[in-house]
Amino acid sequence: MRHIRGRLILTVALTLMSVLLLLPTMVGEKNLPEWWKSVLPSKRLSLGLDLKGGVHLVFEVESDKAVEVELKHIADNVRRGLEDEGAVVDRVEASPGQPDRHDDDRVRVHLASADGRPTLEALVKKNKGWGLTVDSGASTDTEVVLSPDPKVLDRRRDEAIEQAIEVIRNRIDQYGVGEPTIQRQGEERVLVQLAGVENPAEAKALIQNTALLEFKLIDSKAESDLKEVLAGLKFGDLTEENAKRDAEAKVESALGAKLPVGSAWLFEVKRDKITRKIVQAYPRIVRKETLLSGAYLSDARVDFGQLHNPQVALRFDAEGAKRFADITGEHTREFLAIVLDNTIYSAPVIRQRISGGNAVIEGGFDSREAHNLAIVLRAGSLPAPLVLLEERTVGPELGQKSVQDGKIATLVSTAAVMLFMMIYYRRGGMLANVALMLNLMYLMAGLAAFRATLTLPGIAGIALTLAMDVDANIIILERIREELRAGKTPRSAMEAGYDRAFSAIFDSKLTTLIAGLILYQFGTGPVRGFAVTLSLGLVIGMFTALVFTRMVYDYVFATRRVTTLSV
Amino acid sequence: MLEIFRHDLNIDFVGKSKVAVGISVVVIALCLGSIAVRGFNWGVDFRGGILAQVRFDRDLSPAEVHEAASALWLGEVEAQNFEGSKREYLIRIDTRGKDEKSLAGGAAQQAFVDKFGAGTQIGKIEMVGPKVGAELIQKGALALLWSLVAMLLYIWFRFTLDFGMGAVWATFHDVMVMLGAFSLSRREINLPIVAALLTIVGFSMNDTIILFDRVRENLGRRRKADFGEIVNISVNETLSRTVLTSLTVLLSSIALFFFGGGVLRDFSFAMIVGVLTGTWSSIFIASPIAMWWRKRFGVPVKKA
Repeated sequence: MRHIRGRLILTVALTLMSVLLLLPTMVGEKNLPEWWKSVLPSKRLSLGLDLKGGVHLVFEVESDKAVEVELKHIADNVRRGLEDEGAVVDRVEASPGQPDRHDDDRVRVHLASADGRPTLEALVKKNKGWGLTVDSGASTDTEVVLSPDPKVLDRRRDEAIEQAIEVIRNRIDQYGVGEPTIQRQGEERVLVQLAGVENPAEAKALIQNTALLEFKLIDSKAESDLKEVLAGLKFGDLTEENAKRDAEAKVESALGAKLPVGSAWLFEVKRDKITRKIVQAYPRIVRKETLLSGAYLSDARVDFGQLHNPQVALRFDAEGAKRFADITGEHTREFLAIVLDNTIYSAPVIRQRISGGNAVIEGGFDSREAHNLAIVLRAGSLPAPLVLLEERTVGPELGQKSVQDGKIATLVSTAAVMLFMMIYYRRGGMLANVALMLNLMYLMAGLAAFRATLTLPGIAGIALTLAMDVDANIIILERIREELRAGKTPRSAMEAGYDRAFSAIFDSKLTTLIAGLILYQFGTGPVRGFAVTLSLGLVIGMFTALVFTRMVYDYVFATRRVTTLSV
Repeated sequence: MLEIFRHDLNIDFVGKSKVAVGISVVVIALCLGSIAVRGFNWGVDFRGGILAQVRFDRDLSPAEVHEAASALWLGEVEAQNFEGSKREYLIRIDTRGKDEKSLAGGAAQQAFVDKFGAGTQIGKIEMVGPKVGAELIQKGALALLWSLVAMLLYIWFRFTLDFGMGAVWATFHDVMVMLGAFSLSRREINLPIVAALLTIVGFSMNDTIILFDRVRENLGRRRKADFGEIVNISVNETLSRTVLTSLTVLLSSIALFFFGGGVLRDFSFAMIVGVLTGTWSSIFIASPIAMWWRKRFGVPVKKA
């Protein structure tokens, strides 16, 4: 007994550990007693989205847009600085270079005369924080090209991506989804996995909504000057991307050239009072300057206005409240456009100075829409737009069917393999089958321990891994048969069988493990789950074949007189 | 005791290797030809586009489903019965050259329900942008390449270079045959298929190494014997094991094929083809290449 004690303890310990790890999966997390949860593993084996249903979304953060905003901000600083120094500036432009890189982004300063250039150079030298250098080669006397420090822009890009993830997380948390997965993938991608969402389209819209809230003044003078042109530009619902683009082109060609400097046009939408669907969209002319933005919001909530129409009540922070009071005081009797993602939701007239920092977006929403709008406003706006790269939705019914199919297939395949082993290798085969059952148990426990997610290819991986693990037993048993034929006694045949089979098993499993690890490294989603199963199965298979079965043989030979081996 | 092969079996595998290699060359030529001419039926994972599986509450004709889907999405629509059911359809939309923003999948559910009634169930909708697809092809090919290189290095380290070459080319042979089988049968290649492909890479390698391990052992024992003779003895000695293991994996793949449902069908098809070609190449391709390498570049000296 002494020589097998170590291995026996190891096997018993592993088996016990597996039972502990698998119990939550067997009886369900809720049925575990409280004391269990505090000291022992209580997480059940989690199912992948393809098995339990849900949405898998991959977004790309268009971080170039955030960098462009930063570049414009730098350009504004330069213009303001120059004006303070008394230089006459024609205009300062942000000119972004190629997408995805920031070492060719430039700020171009058009000066009224060449006298301004020394002032500009002095200014740039003084304000080191801007990180600007004069690109002398590309500059002329009146057009000075400044190149910003790419590190500053890269940092801004990174921040934008982190910020986007944070905003997405906030929004989803408030929307209320159990255990969402939100991960950064690679450089600028975000993976979002939501299980059991009833309305994937709504969840997606919630995430993708930039939610940039701005307050701008309506340019009433331009609107009355261009009354005739505007009257001809009325559209229906423009939610559909193509319709929107056509309408935009039409408005731009009719209106674009006629707008006064500093003004721009935006669509205002009008909704049906009963159905609350968008029924009309038409262009309005606004002053470009943003007087106040959503950055100064401290809260947004749904409340109900006159006639119980749902509306979104905004609350500004101290700074925002002060600005809002100033704006409304300064522009009384003008129209203030409430712009969300470049669409005007309402443009009420300012009747008086509003202090106290409260405002309301009426917008004619239905209550669901108002609710979601309040969420995105509370969670903050995205620093850059998100492009949807990948979307996978699996309905719960299909998921359940896949679980069923996978279970049956695994059972049938395991049963077939076990039956075969029993018939072909008799008692040796039965022992291999016990090893196989241990294998299955350890593998499931290992998956639970690694917090792996079980996917459909993962289940297939389990079935195949078991079939391949039998291979180690076959190698050993075949080798024992050979040694017996060579005339060895049962005991020395068994020992020689294990010894000689070792190098074959070790080398072959290790090479397969290499393939498994590379698969993990390169794989995404379901393929990764498959690779984990495969690699884990290989290691466990080596243990059960080389340690467990050998231990049983050693025990039998130590306790009995064995004259024939049943293999 | 039960034996599938007599233990004193002595087939001249090496003598038949010319014929076997000839067969493989023809098969691979056929596969390459099909890949060149017919190409692959890339699934939505790689090609980009939309794949939807929808179950309606009544029988519908492909034309009706086609029409509904065409109204919903931009791009070339293909509607196909799922597993022969007239209620359940697989809808594929080729969105190549279309605006990425038109790829919205989520709104489809409501649109189908509006048109075909409340009993309509969306099994799944997968939308993959073209950018992601192209990246995945690249990643998959890289994974394959790197795993082959890593395995070559490992065998070189544990055995010698000639064995490594034999094993890697045999495995490459299997990959080609599997890709060819997918091209010939017009089956769709998607992410799980790549997983199956890499499993077969591991499996075939596994098979080959077990044979080579025996060759290594016999080389140490019979120093005088001809390499070809030793290979032949080793193939015969390990034949039972090779065939038995292949049988168990084959059994398991066949079970998946018949009981695993539609999603796993192509996956298990890949496994079945792979097990067959993997076994074939371990017996007939790996050793001739190792032998040829030995003849051409001499007997490698093992350090240890």
